[in-house]
Amino acid sequence: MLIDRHGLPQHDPWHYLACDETPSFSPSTVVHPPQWNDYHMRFGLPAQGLWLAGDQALEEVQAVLGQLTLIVVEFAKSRDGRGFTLARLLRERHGFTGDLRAAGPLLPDQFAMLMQCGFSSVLVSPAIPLVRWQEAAVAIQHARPRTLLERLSQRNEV
Amino acid sequence: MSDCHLICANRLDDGAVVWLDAQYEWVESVCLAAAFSPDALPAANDAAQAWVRDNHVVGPLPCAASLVDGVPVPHSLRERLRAQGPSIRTDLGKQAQAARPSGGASSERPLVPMAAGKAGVYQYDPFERDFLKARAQQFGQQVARRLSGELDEEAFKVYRLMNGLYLQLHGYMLRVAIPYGTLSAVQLRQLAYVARTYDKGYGHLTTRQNIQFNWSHLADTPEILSVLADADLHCIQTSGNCIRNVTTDHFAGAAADEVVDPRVHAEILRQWSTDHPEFTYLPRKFKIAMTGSPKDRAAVRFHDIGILAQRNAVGEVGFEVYAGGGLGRTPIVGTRVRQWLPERDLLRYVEAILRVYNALGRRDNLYKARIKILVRELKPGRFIEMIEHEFCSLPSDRQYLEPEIVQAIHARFVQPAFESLPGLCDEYLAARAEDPAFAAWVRTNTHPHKQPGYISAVVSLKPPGGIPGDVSAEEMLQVADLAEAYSLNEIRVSHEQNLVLPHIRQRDLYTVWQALRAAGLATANVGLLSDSIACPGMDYCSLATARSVPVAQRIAQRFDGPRQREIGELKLNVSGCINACAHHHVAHIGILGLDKAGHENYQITLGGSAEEDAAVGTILGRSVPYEQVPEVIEALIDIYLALRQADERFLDTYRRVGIAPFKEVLRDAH
Repeated sequence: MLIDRHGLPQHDPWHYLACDETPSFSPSTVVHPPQWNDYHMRFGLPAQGLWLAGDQALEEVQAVLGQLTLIVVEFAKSRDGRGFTLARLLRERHGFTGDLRAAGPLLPDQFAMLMQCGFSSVLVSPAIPLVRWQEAAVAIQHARPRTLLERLSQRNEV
Repeated sequence: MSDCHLICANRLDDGAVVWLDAQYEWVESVCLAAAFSPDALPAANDAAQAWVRDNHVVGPLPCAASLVDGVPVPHSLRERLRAQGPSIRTDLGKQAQAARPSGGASSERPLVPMAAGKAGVYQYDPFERDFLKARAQQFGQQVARRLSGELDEEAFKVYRLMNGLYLQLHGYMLRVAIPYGTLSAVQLRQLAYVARTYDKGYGHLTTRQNIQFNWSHLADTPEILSVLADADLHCIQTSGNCIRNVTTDHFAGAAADEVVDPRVHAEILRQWSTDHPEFTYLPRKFKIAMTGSPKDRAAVRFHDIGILAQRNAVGEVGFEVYAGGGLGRTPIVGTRVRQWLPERDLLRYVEAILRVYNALGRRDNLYKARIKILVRELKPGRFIEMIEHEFCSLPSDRQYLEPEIVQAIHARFVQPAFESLPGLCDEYLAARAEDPAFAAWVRTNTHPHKQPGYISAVVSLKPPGGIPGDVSAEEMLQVADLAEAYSLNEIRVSHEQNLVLPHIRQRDLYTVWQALRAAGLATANVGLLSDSIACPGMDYCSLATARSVPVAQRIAQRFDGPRQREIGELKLNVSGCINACAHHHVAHIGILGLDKAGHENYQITLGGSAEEDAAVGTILGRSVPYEQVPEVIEALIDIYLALRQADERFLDTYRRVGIAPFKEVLRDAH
């Protein structure tokens, strides 16, 4: 199930290729890095989506980042936080401006941190009531700087 | 019937230890537990798992037991302690069901005068208070979702740990942060209220400058967090794989040798790391320690990041930074990664270290996930290169620690209202000359103050026969009263598990000492053999492989006060397992409890130091059974006393003669 930054469910037009699946042509396909060349050669067009595991070295995929409209970052476990760093690097260092989507056994209580690190959508587990994600998104809207440092730093960066 | 099993679990809502009976119901006494034969065990396990799915109990496990006179007795010491209660507190746990101690006596929730209780602690503003209240409320919702079954234990554990709540041997343990070891009198009173109202009348101070309550009920914890928040206290960052409570020098803000008050930067790091969006799900826990004095009283070289605040020739603040230090199963002295880091770059540099660690730290093996292993695997040179590369690549507008930010945070620490006094007070000198007991206490338990006419005093929580770091609610109130009357409302807690009254006028010291002595809090043993750090050990901790507190107690019993003073400075720490919570690796004499074929055995290390001359102790030889530890330690001390020259401390003698002469003690023991 796809939810957006407001915690609301959205129609998901993307096809997420499995690691061992043979690519079929669709403008909205998410491939794994090893499938990138195969897809490009088969259809003469680059895939528009790329699926990254939490331990992906970004130098290895740097060349194709500019061609993507969607990057999915997979969290192997809810407590495996590598995806947070990956997201920040994609936004801050590689200037990725497309849709950055988190996937994996994530929890609504992590929603605020996901958004703060640059994610714009989440593939969520159907086991979690959808309303929890909306509650988490509403809480962000009401959030104020929690510490003096946060307020002072924001003032500095503005 | 010797080949049988009990099934033991903790009840979800209050954490009580329970056993499955023959009707597959849970009972609170091991006497009523069913002893399942090998044939009956699978069905009983299934029944227990059904109770888990119904959110009634947590973690049921079979444990081997025998029937003795018709009563089941578990084979392992750990399970026997669960059935009984702590061996060091026979008034607590199952063994004390008949006569419940005073805890639980309910009194009105106090109105906490945080604004009025002026102390040199960081003053929260309404935003920061709201955040703590909101955190307590959020945890209340998470607890409700757990109790209702919406969250299972696996999912809930993440939130539980983020709020300092562990499940231990006898039930839930709540760990409250004491950021950089600083408390006001008002806050210490609030901790006393929590101890009395929700726990069993005491708390336990840890080597991470936290305080633990051992008997919390899950259902009460949201209310406890709210009560703590009334006094600007919280349990954030006391557990889980996040950046933990930043620790520092227990004489911070008072020590005569202090160059920079480390609490200001520690508070900045606390604010920066609280709920950090990128670094809350690290490979493992992450510990930062900081000191602002050339004498390292915070063991900074044994932390994931250790920071020594300094001033350069023109008075600017900067930091010497260590990374990759740690204790546990792989004790390593940290690598110096920067000799001089300008103040302005502090948060950026710490972010760079954490980012390298978060991206590359191992997640496949819990025991190899700490940053020290990453540093070792990469080699220090490569690790430093990676930090520096990350540091240079940070966005150019990211989080410089500008002077006005430091000043603003500094301004939130109320400056203690010191009086102008002469450097030495005649009444104080006279009392020292006249009362030898007072003089002995001053020698061991006080530290020079930066303000003329003042002195800092350590309140030892290691009385003879006591439990290192345990402090009763009454004692908390007594110390809070003394802090209010004589220490400008301030208290510190030390990583050596003692309390400190930091700002006492010299002329009041004799009065303070008399009050402490009347309260049983004037043990003159700081830095001596009986000032042991001891973790809770198997008496409380579910990770422990052996008990630690009774070992420290039995050793201390062999040495009276004069003998300890004759021996001089000696750090003797006892850990109940390889995780080394009691810092045994860096003690002059370190003792590590191990399980050897079901019997408690102890490995001894010599020559560790947590200070500027940081060193990991060397293993003396084979491990020693529980019963023999005191005599072996006494024999080690005798060898030292025979070999020492002039004023050598144990550590000095050890360093001069090496370990060989000490190995003799293991030859004689059988």
